[in-house]
Amino acid sequence: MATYTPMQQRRDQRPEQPREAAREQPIQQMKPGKRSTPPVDIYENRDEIMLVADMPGTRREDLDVRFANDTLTVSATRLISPQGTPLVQELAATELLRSFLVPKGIDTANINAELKNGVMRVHLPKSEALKPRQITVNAG
Amino acid sequence: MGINQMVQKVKSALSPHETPREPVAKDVQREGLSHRPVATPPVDAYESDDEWILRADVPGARPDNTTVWFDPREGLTVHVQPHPPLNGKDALFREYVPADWYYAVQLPDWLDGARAESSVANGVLTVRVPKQAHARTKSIPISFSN
Repeated sequence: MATYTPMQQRRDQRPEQPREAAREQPIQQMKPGKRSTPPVDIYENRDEIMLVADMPGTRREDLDVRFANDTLTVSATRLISPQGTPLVQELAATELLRSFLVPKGIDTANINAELKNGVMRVHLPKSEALKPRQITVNAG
Repeated sequence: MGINQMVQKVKSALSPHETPREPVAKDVQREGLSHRPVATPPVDAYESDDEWILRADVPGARPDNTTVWFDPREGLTVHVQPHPPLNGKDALFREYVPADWYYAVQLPDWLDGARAESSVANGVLTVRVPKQAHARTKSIPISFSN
């Protein structure tokens, strides 16, 4: 019997380091032009699976979320516009890319994403077949 | 006015920094810090002719969960509490360590921290600190004589 796996990240795009490490080494994490994989959190409740990722400085038009071949792909571009003579530069233009295998039973037609306050949330609603339901017990 | 009050008033006038301060919002925030993990956000800093600009990646920051304050002795401090409500969702997979964003920096004398302004957009905080009048870049007129 196959084990139910709510979300499985693509093996070739595992995160290089967790968030704490990324915060400690922002320069190495965000070299100009480097493609990096953003860390994510994945949550689940009765109705949906939700994927959360920090994407500060990314505008809505620079974020692309696609679903194809059972794979959810999130890509984003972050641009930096200097505002004078740079004294400290830890932020940099970067490309973010990460993919996940989406389990069966997700209502793929209604996957939606939002980008608010630099945090992206992708909502993957469960189909009725995947939602928990109470089993009626018949009297014997 | 009693003699003790007069002495206290004179002391305050001579050394205002030694006067005990009333508790303010920032102190409350700092007490909260001792119980919460904090992380230092990556920042950019720029200098223009008229101001010094700080930009910090603080995803999850909104005006109501972000505090920016300036103290002449302690400099500029930023504190963001970005924890989102999850509406009963259980974590399946976590790579983020929940933490507040906290950043503090001393400002040089040539910056006027009392007139600093801040804004937040797309999870990026921008703080603009104007330069003191004497520190601003000025064009020096050149007179020609034959």
